[in-house]
Amino acid sequence: MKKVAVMVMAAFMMSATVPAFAQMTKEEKDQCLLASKNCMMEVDTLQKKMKKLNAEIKKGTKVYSADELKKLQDKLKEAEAMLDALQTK
Amino acid sequence: MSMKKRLLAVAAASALTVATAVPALALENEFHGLFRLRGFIENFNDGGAGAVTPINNPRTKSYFEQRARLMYIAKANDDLKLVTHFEIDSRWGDNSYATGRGQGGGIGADTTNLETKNVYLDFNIPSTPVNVKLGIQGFDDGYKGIIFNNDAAGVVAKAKTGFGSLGGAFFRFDDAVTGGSYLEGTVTNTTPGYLTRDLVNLNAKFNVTKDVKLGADWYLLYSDVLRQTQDRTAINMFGVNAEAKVGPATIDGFVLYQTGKLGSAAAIGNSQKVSAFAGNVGAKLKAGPGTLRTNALYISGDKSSSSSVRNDFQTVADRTVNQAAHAFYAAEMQILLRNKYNMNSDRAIVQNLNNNRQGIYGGFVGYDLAIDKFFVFSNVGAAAISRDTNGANRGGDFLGTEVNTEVGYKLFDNMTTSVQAGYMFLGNYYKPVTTGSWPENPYTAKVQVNYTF
Repeated sequence: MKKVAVMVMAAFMMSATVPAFAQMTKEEKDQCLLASKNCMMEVDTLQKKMKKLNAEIKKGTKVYSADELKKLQDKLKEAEAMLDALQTK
Repeated sequence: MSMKKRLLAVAAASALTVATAVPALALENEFHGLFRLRGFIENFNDGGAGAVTPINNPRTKSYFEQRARLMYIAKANDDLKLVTHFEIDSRWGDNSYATGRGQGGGIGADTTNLETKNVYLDFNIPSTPVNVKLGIQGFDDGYKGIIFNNDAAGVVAKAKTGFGSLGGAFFRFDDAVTGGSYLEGTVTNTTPGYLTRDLVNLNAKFNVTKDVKLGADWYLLYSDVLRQTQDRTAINMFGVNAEAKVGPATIDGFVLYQTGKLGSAAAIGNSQKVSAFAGNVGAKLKAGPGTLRTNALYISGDKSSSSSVRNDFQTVADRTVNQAAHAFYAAEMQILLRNKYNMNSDRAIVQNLNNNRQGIYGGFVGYDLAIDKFFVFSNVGAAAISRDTNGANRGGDFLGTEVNTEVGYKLFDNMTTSVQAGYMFLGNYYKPVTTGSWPENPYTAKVQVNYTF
């Protein structure tokens, strides 16, 4: 039983650590340090978010349901409003 | 299995369960912001805010101003988030080692100057189509900003419906030391909730067709701030707005009618009736390689401030009488009306659209062109007062014509540099009544660096 418990604990510890190795290659780590690109904690700028949303909306009903498309459009409007709030009075 | 082994197994399983459950409680952290630097050479803006009257020999002003905005959003999920928005403004060289907003650009810097612009909770009520925004926030009035376009504390609710949406809002503008606008004078509120200025809104939006949208609103602008010395103010505004796509063009506009009563500076019981009007029609059209924009605006005025019925459109101002809490940015003017890029320097010929009871009507045309990373935005606008308040007619009602342009280059996706310039040819309104010189035509030239993320 001790062996089982140790295996479960080991599996848990691995599950917490594996993504960091899986998602970031050595080359990417260098890019993060050298050029501030592809960093693990990188978040999208509003412009990047809007670009991504536009690209997904363009895929249309072939990929997304009508409800999902509406949700993406609402998120795009929200990002546009946020950019406007930052830029104007 | 012994008890010890059983306990160990249960502990291991519990740890795994907790570990998989934790991400559901995690927050998505969003950071956004703005940095803007403007360098000015002009003869009318002076680093302050409010209306400016052109004068003879106004002197050239040259200065730099900068603004940073930081927005942090703590998003629990798609249905719940806290939005915070902060601002740091300075004019280069203005002050240092001080405490207060809009300064800290002097040698040494080190000024306590962080402003809280927005703090509000944004959430969807479960199992309903209702979204609520609760706290200090900006507001889209649906009338291109001419009613209210600033930040304030309040609650905004909106429910999506099959035909469009239904909404409501309540804002408390003042509940303390108050003064300004038509609410002339200053009072100190020692009993919270006793002397207040509030804005209430109910609205409905209808998607008539895929390309035609209609909106209807009721606004109440209420104030009993000066109840101890004059009547309460209660102005009802009824508005209709519309937007339609017609071929390559998008046409929009609104009409607003104000009725109710306005607290008078005379004794209690002498409030004035209000009957005022505002209207707009605008269009956007793809034309050639760019986009053509047009807008026409009418704000009613009144000859006298002592008439029993006031026909001048009542506008919302900040606590200081000089600063409008509304705007008509769609005109894209740099001198004649407030400009959307204005920061602490926020002067205009007509800063408050009530325009000292005179009102305003004008037409504005612009053309936006973007070629690769270059962009050119050009505008021309002309305006006159709706009513002459002193009867002298000053040589005419025409305020003048402004031409302006912004030429820029996108250094990065989210960073632009541009040069802006504007010139206003003053109209007969500024013609000397008898003798004397005409005031100098206002001009502005600016360099701007703008970074948003």
